Amino acid sequence: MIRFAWRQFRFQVIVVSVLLVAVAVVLLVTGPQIAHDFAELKGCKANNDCNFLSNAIQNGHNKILNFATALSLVLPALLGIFWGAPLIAREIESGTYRLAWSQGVTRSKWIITKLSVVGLASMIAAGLMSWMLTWWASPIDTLNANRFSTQVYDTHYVVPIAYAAFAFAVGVTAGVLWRRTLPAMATTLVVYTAVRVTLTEKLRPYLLTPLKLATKLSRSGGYGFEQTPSGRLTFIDSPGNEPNSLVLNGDMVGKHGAALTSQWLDTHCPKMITRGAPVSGHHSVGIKGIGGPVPKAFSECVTKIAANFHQVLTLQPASRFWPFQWIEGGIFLAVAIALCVFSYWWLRKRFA
Amino acid sequence: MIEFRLNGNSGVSPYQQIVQQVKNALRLGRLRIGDQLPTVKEVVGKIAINPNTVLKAYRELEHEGLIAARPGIGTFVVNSFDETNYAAQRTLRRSLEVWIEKARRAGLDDESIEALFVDTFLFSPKELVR
Amino acid sequence: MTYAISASGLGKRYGRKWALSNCSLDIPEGRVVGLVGPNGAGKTTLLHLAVGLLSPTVGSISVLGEGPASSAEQLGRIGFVAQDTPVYSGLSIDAHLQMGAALNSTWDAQVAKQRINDLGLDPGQRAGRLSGGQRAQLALTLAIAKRPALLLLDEPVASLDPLARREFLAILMEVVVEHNVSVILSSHLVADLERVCDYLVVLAASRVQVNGAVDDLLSTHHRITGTPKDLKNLPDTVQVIESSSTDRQTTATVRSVDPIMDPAWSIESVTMEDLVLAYMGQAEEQRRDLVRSKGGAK
Repeated sequence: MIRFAWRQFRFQVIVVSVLLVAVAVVLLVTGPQIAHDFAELKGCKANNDCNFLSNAIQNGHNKILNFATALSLVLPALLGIFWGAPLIAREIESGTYRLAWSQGVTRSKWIITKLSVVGLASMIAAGLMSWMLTWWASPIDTLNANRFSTQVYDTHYVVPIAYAAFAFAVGVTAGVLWRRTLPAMATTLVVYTAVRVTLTEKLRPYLLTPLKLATKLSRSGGYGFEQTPSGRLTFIDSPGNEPNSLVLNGDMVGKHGAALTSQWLDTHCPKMITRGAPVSGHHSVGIKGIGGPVPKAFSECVTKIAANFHQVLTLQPASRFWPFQWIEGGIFLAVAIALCVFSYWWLRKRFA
Repeated sequence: MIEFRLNGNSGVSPYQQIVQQVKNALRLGRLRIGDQLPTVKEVVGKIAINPNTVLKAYRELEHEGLIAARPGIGTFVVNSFDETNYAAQRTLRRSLEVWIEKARRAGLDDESIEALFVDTFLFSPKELVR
Repeated sequence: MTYAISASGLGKRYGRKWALSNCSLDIPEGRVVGLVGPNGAGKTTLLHLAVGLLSPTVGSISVLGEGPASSAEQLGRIGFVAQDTPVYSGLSIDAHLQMGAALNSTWDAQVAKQRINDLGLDPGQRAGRLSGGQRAQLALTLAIAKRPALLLLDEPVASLDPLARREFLAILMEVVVEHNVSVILSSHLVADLERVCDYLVVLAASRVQVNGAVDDLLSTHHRITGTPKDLKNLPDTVQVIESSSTDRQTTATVRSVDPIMDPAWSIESVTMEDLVLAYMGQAEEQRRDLVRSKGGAK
């Protein structure tokens, strides 16, 4: 049964294999250079050389990085659509289920074997892609120090395997419910994308209760003031650059927990207010040469703020990266298994 | 080897048709003593009929003593009708062919010829008038 | 004794419509059984229930003494050819045979290879490129090479031309002789079945109308002709299946175990086609009566 399941599935495997091999070749050719540069970077002394090297690593292979990242991001969906959706839908649609189910294998064995073979293959394919990308991009990721970003988190390490399992299961379920391949494929695309996006935006930040971290006003962040049409001033601070963390929110908190209000700004930064034209724009403080000349009133106000307030970040710290990968991966895998069980049950109920 | 043909509309049951065709073949000399009959499988492979029909026909012919089954070898003709008729049959066939040609020249179509013959035959005396 | 198929009160419903209802029959082994009826009468439903592609709504069915598709062994004892003989059009004939070998423990590769050879088919040929007749033969090969005890065929010749039809049935009969299988084949064309079947089941209006050995059925059914008033004088032992009357003459198809002694009737034997048509006509009459009475009641 396993051999025949492979035989039916041969063409799809070949297509994806060719793709993965092509990617592997490209990554294998360019990877060692990056690794080499990174090794040199560790031992570099002169600032100019270090900058040159880190720039080469971070920006030298952008086309490949973008392509490979995009592929790893999209691969689970493709597997769900082209491997999962037709798996059972096509047999029903074309009537070949009447041939397959009268052979000397029980319905259970047939369903379970097909689900296992193709499901595992999906996970392996996504896993291979993820592993290759993780290996190749590891120096770049280290320098970028942004592991919780979608470019890294969603496409490296463990979660793509779970995404693939989930997409596959969605495809199979859609196929079993629709009993036709094309609607199943479309449904898979829509459902998978919707769930993934929702989970990433709404659920991932709260998989574990976020921590609160108190920091001084960020030195490398961007500040700005905005004036509403009624003349009120608000302070905007992009949350600081906590490396490899997932920052959800940043609040300015003063003594006794007071917030930084417009009234405080009106009182302490009177020169910031101009009648008529609003003060707007973001000026970066702390990095020379970027942005325009900083008006004195601006930097005075920022100094006052820094003296009386500190920033409280709501975040998931870097140390939680791996727990998050396992938790999120576990959730998607569990849902995938539940969908497969449902499909099995539905199929037996609908037919016999 | 004899080949059977089934006429679905004749009103005669299939197994009877097979029995008749074997008997006719014996009468006309197309089957002689010692000839082998086709196996059941060969018969049904040529004309798509139920094997039991063939078995039933062969059983009846065997019962009448005309054929016998030799296990592992086949089914053979062991008896026939009066052989001396063969020569007379050849002469009669020739006369009949001449008669048919005459009937055609007279302008009779196939159905009229058959009707004329059957009618004459049915009303002819059943026994030789001495 | 095991029956090929044994059903008791079997019924299958889709939504509000009963595709098959109140089906009870015991079909003996060792026969070539014809399952006849108009389209939509429930033939495919019955066969699918027997193979385990569907489960009953009510009632029960057992095939060769066991529940349908109850185990891999039981599935191996049944060969099934579905309507329109589905095959994997992208796979070669050889790949199909490999499938058969992989999925059936009783697979006889020699039989399969021999048949494909005898049919003159190229094993490397893709199944999608075969003609209808060739596909039917491939499907039959896949069913037979399992060395089943029972062959179920759903309208195997419906879409074939007359020559291919005759060839298929001839080969099927050879298979019956060679492998000693019981066969149940469905068709909506009686002429196909008349030559090859020795047992008959007539399905019409989702019910079994009549079933039995062909010899028995033909000897107990008669076509009688008489006057319309004689119809009422028929004894109770004579069951009228269908009748049609003009002013002066009535013809009827009847079932009677005892011979009909009344000299008022002239009696002829029936062909299988007459018999099937009579029962199908009866079913249609009953259906119309039902619809009319429902309409009247409203």
